[in-house]
Amino acid sequence: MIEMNDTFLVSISTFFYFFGALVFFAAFVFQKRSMQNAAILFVVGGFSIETAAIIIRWAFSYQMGFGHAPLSNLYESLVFFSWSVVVILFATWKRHRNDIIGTLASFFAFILLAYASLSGNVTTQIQPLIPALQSNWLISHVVSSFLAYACFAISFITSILYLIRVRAGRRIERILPDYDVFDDLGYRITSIGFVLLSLGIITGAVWADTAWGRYWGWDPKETWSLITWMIYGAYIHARLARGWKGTSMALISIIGFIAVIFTYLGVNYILSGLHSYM
Amino acid sequence: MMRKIYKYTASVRLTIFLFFTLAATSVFGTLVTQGLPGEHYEKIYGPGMVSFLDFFEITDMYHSWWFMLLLFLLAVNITACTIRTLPGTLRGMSRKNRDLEETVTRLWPIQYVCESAYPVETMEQKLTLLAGRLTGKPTIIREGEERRIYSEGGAYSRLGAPVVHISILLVLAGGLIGSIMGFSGRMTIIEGEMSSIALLFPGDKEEKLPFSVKCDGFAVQFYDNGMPKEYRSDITIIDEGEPVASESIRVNDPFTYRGFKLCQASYGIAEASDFKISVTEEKSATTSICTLNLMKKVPLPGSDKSFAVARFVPDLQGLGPAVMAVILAPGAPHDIFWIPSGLHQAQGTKRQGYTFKIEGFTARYYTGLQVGKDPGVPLVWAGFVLILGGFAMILFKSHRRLWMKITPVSEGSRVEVAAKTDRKDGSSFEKSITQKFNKLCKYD
Ligand code: HEM
Repeated sequence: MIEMNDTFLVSISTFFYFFGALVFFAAFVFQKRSMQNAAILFVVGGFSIETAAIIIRWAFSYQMGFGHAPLSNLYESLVFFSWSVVVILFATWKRHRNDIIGTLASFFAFILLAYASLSGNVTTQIQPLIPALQSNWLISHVVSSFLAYACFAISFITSILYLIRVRAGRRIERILPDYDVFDDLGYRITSIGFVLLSLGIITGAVWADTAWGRYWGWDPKETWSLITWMIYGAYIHARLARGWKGTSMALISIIGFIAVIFTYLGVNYILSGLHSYM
Repeated sequence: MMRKIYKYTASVRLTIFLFFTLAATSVFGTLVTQGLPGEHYEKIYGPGMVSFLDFFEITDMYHSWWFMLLLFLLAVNITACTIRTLPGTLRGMSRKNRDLEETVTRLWPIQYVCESAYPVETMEQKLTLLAGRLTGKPTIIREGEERRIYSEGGAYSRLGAPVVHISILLVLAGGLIGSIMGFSGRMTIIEGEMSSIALLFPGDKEEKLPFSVKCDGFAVQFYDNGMPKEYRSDITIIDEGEPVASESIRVNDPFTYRGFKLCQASYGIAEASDFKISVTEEKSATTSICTLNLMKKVPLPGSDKSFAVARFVPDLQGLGPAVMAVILAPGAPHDIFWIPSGLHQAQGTKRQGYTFKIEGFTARYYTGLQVGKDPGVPLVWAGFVLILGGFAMILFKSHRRLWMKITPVSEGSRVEVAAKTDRKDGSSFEKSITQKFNKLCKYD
């Protein structure tokens, strides 16, 4: 049981995502359907192993006598973030089998896991829940927030690809033909992410009301989640009501994702607040 | 001029501007720590900068006049926009079953034509059923041999956006009511004592509650690894001199009485006594345990010196509780030093050939309760639920419209189809129409 613990499984899925990204990139360069299938198999494999790791970790915490969902510290949140990115990648895969999105999304999932396992300042230990986290709202709040972050990550990827295609113009027409797909897919994924982020903020507010006696306190993490929400709110309105497309939408999505990363990590590293993931 | 202002007030351009402005300015409030007493800012930023911060109220930015103004403009923007667009949307929805001009339906994006061996009457029956299944209850217009069938479904999904907008107004209104009529403060009650005074945030104004809270006891539990597991205050509410309720308040488990919500917020040690301190003489390695109380000296084992505890602090620079100890020797100055307790100090404190260690003490705790009253909360909750309802209307339902014309041809009938749906429906509506008609018309 010591050898096959959850962090070991996470390391294995880290490699699967890495190879998935490599093979996706090869499929993109050589435009081979068979390679694409191999790549998605790698990612499915990594995803299954990661899912098993999350479940095992959950079970371990019960064996240790303080069972809780593995969503309570930085390590667990990074693992769940990468899991969510792959979920959203699968969701887009149903609509558009796009190799380059596959490459970048699995690479991002890889980076998150590599950071979780290799960085010195991320503890992989299973810790009990401090009193503030002992709440039924923990799961719904964290799950909806991270699924939202994952949507925004994919939208960030499609926006970067869109901008590259528009900048480079005709020269890369052969390898990136369908750039309208990036704009369209980015918008769809972002609107799902916006709903999930709203859900995350709402469950967080209800939780804060039971934990601290106020639903909103302008704590830096709360404020940054609202900043993120307003950026994507502007994005949604720009599209729905003003019909913006293309470059300006891609730019808002990129700014939005910077705000996401700041909400997730920057607030903890740079500012101080009540949300103590570290 | 007025028209122009109204148009801008009700425009999405203003919405986007306000979203970006609120997002950008909110950043400042996360960079400058909010709500500290004035001197702190003077120290960090210097007096010149402070007058700038003060003018824009950046030290309490989210309650400043200009931030409130932006939120107010947002509310006006939503209201104006709703007044401008909602009547049209509602009118569109009530005009449900009607005979559409063919020139209109020809412009719809989904168009389909086929011929079938079925006669017009059979086709009419089949298509009526089909229309009901694909969209909603159909209207049938018969003109001679020609039949026109119109149906529409999910029209109410167009109300999703107005529902979201109005719920945002509810949340803003709830916030406003809370900030005017609500209050939030902190009570500190020592075990065994009773209080009805809350210190308000921000500042330290006192507010007297219409009842008293007695702290029967406070307890903190730790996990094996030293992380805190539970903070619990056992309290009794005393209203008009009578004890009316006894409750345990934990973090995430508050208690509400007469609209006042009491949450566990902090704790500390108010007093400590009966310090058990182990004293090890290094030469002989003998240990004895002394029980001390403040300012009561005891002899130091194996010497003519004596030893006393002068002071207790609940937290010495993050090391946890500590005592200030004094060694008194005839003809020598008092030797004063700290003995911290807790995890960091397992090896004890060495002094004059002795090692001192705190083994335990009897603590009297105080509990810090957050007490608040917010009459705006029900509105905010209603707003939250409606926002999610509005999202569900937008996400899970599409407005679908279907128009069909059946005309007789020599061997059966000819069907012309036009359909239209939301963007979010994608191509699924079109796919199901094509599939159904391919099946119907293949009959030969
Ligand atoms: C704080 C949040 C929001 C504010 C302040 C806000 C405000 C506004 C305003 C003022 C308009 C212009 C009125 C118009 O032209 O129709 C508008 C339009 C619109 N909003 Fe929002 N909105 C918010 C949230 C949302 C959300 C969450 C959605 C849903 C995804 C949404 C969907 C729409 C749509 C679809 C329109 C265009 C309606 C049309 O042009 O007919 N809004 N919004």
